[in-house]
Amino acid sequence: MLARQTARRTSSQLHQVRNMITAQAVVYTQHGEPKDVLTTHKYEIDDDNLDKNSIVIRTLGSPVNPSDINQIQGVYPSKPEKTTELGTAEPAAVCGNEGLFEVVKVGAGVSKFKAGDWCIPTKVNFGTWRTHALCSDEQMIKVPNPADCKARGREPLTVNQGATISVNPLTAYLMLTHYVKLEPGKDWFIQNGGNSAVGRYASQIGALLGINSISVVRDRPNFEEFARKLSTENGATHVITEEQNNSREFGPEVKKWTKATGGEIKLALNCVGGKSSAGVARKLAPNGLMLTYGGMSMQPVTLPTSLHIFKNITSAGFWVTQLLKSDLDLKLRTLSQIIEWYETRQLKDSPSHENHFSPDADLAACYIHAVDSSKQGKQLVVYQ
Amino acid sequence: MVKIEAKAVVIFEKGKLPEVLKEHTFTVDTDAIGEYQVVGESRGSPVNVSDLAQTGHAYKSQPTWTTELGGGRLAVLGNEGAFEIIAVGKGVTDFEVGDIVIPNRPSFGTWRSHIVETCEPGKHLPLRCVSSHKNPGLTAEQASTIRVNPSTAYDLVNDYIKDWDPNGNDWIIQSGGNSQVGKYLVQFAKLRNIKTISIIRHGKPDHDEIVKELKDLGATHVITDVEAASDKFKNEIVPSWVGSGAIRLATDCVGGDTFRTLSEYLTGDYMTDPRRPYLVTYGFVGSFDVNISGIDILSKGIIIAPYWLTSKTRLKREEAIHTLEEVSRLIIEGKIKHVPFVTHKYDAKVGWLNTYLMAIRDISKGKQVVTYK
Repeated sequence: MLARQTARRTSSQLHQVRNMITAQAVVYTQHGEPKDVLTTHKYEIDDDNLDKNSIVIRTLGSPVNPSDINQIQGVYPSKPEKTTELGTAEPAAVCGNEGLFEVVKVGAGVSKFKAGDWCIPTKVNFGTWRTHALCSDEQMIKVPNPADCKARGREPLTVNQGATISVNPLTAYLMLTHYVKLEPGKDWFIQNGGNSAVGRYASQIGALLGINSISVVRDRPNFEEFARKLSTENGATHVITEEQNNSREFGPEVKKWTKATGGEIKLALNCVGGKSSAGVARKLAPNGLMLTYGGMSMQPVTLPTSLHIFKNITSAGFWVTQLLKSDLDLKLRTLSQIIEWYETRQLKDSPSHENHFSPDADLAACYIHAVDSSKQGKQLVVYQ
Repeated sequence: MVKIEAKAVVIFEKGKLPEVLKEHTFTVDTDAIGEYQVVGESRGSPVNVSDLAQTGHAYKSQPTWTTELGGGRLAVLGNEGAFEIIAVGKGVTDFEVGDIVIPNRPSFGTWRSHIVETCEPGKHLPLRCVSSHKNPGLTAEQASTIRVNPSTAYDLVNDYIKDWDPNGNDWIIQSGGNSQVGKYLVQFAKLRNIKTISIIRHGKPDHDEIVKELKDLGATHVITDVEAASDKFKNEIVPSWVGSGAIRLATDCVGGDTFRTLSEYLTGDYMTDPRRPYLVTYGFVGSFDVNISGIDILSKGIIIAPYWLTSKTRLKREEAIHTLEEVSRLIIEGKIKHVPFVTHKYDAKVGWLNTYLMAIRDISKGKQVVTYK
């Protein structure tokens, strides 16, 4: 006690004694399987001497995405830079791309944030698997915290909604709105992977925008009930099986649907590949577009050539990161639409399995466990 | 003057080749033509795979059905060809006897010895003059095949990538390197200082001559499909040629594994390079699927686009005419060499239909053209 006070006095000419934040981050220096290469790195954040534009944030939640795992394995085209910024012996990268944070403290020149605000990273490769971060205010985008929502007379954003907003809902919204003009009430899109997270966002957002959809899903024993649920809860206009998707006999049925609305299937979304991609492409109207997304580990994409040529079908990839990289304004506009739908409870988020991290546990072990559980569904690490 | 017994290869209904093809004769009386009519005589019409495809049900482009040639409802086959004007009506101002003309619309029906067309001044003309006494242009030989192959090659080079590097760092890789389109494509590319890799089939008996011909036309490198599919070419040889340049366009008329192989050669980085590589398919008639790695589509940012001349001619008329004019100019100026074809001269003893059947028989051996005189 005495010694500490003395120490405080001795250093008081420079500054008050420092109440550093001990932060933890999940890092890797080498690529490989997460369980082999991830370690917890502890470091201190000096929140008493913040640069003018710096902010200190604490993590509320960050998910495990397949692309996060692919990045760790070194097989994903977008890679975070490895640095020694956090005081690691070797250059290291912090894992994770999505996450929801709360502002703890702001530098003297920061006007867009105050303590208690919620925020998400402006760009990918932020490194979201960590307890805290010190960054510039430019690196974060504000999203409404529960108090903000309440002040607007709306429902609060949940941690899961905020932590998973950047990839899947934005992917679905931008694929539907950015390339092809779909006329509400008339036009259609078709998608395989209709029960995937993006697929369910796409059918819901389609319904919110008045665009009809056909969701292709794998056949299953309780298909009728499953299909009804995708329609009533996730907005899919029609749900069909992969078998129906691949069957030529089913074509006239689809034509009947589009005829009834006086529109066309102008867009196909593909995340499955193989026969399934040929099936959805085959249902496109002339001059249609097929977008392939999220398929870092999927089957080859198949296109029926005669149809591709005679119907002038174009096929391209969609990668939300690339589209938004140089267009922050588009990202902000899109986020604000998704947030509004969340706050008004018109859009349902895709649920995640929660993994609770307690500060005395090992953070890397917590994420490794979440990675291992990823096959059971999307995993979210929630911080207290 | 004279009554001509004109001949045409026609179909009365769709069906199986070659049985579905019939010879039809009709009379053309050059003395009795209308005020705005012209009569043309064939100077050559080729047999294209797409012409044959129009006899079946799968091809989406229809031949033109007519009852004007007598004999009931029929369609004359053939989409391209050159005709020489041999008679004009009193009111015709756009054409003179001796003009070399080509059709101004797809599914014209060019497999016939003579044509009679109405060319009223001020109205849309069914024919286009490519050479006249006053204004010599294309030879009849050049004109007979200008519509399809050279135009396709020109569009493949120009319609997708718009910002070709003028300093020779950009590349095109193409399958069907030994096809007519392939031979024109390397020439158009060379004019723009674009380097090319032409893939030809492995094991051709005249391999060395083909390579020499293609290189003389302007191909930078010629490789076989077996070489193209090998890791050595994918990982070492072609990268050593391309260096810091970029393979920005692949054109494919083969499909199957070749399609995928081509995609593997494309240069692109969706994340860091705004230049999106194109994989353009053209010239498919059969109905089959092509495969591409989803990883390549995403990581390289590949755009797969189709090219179909017939569709472009119908939907983007002005652009198609621009292409035709540019291609004609470059051929007339000698900047693009006419690529030779095999000629089947009509012999009355053999017959009109049989001459075409011989050309059809040889279609896999290169471009086949039937001439009337």
